[in-house]
Amino acid sequence: MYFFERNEQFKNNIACICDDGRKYTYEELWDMGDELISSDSQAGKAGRHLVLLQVSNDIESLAAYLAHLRGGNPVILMSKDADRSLVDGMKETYGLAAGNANGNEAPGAEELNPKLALLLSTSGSTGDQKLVRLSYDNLQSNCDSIVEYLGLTAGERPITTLPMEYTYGLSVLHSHLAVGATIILTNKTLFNSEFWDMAEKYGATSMAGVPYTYAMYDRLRLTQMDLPHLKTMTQAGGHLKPELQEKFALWAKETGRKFFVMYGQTEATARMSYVPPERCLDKPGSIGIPVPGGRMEIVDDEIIYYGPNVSLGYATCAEDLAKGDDNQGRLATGDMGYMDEEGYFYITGRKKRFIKLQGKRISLDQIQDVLTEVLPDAKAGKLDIAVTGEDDKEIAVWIAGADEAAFAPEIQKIFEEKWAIRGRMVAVKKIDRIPRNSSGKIIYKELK
Amino acid sequence: MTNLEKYNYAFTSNFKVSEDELPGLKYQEIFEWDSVGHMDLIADIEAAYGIQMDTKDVLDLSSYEKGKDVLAKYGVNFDE
Repeated sequence: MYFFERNEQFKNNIACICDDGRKYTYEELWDMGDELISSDSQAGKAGRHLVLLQVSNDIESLAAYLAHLRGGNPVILMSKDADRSLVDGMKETYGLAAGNANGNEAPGAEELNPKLALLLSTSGSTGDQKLVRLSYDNLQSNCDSIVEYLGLTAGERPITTLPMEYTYGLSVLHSHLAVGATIILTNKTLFNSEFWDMAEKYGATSMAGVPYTYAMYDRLRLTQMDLPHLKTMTQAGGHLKPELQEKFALWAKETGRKFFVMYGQTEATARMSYVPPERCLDKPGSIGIPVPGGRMEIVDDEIIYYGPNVSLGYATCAEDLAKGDDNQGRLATGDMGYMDEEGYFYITGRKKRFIKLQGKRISLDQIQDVLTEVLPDAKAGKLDIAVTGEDDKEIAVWIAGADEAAFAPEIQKIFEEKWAIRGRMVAVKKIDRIPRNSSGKIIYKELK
Repeated sequence: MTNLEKYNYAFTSNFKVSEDELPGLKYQEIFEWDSVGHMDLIADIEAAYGIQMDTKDVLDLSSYEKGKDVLAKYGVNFDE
């Protein structure tokens, strides 16, 4: 049975506790969803159809999302806070724009792969319209793996700390719905005291986080808080600083809690590997072992994952939504790494130039291409640009052919508008010339 | 810099706002003052006055005005 279906066994369990303190049973959640999406069929969209759903961690978002999954409508998930232009761009690309301004028509039922369940962006808010195509079986199989290795039961009460449209945040919801657990569903941030009031009042049993979330937990001295129900902490979304990993692993060990360091990608639905909590202290820096049902190996120094959670492939236009299974259960992760003698995997770097910045996955190459395109001097070839960066450090924009002072404000403005990256995370640096090899490729390692 | 100038600077430098926009400014009211911005703001305030704030105070500093009350507890006098 799929986690989004009506499971009579859970119908009277509390599915969600919301910001206003209201509690909803599973049955209420299902009914609300069916009602919410019935307006779609009234609007003449009977039959299977593509949906763009803007969500946040609230009951209506979750109810509608699950109802679309039940109803067989493939869903593109975006944030309620997403920039209007990003949403409009997505709608146009996938044929959902009102009036079909550019002539793209909404794909008909026969133009949607029957297996297609969910379409997620890999890039957070960078405006990339490339989506990962996930099947119903992808969602369920990854959900089952997560339930198994985290040992989830109906007694769990996770509190939401990540956006719903983000694969990791979504996997927390899926895996707990699958076991009939109670989700403390909140849009409050870690710096709202209401968040901690809810965690305490409703007895949150687990919290998730990306590396930046852990920096916040640390700043708020989570390890000294009185949260007796909190039993499990999970971490994914990039490499956690070794000192923070050790701190939380030690705290967990001393207080009888479990701390899971995990690894995944949207291309594999969410999760590919995890470090069993009892090995967290003696396997620092490791991404762990494959999740149940998955397998990993190293091919030419790259981590390759095999499993039923490997996505069908990508989509960049409406026509791609009809496509079949491009990946056939095999994902080249793009992460370079190795395996130790006990079968634990480690990442040493990325094959392509992606970095994680405050939880967002960002392509340095894409930023470089966009800057070159939108800055007239760069487009005209008067200005040469290279972009470098590391996880959670400021992005460096190297410019040759002009003074940095002349371009810094403009470049920072582009970052804020296009990618919602604050200007202080961007350092514009002047260089005599961008180092290139004989074939014209930028030699990034010389930019330091 | 006076204590008030240091305080104002922590806001204007982090959130790209002018001093006249500070009265009434609240957490999450502007794009820059999100949870990431809050981390930066707290770090700068702590460095400016050489203090370490408690969790409760980090959470209570949810507006420009509330921050002044919070800091008074740490002996920061805004008349100096």
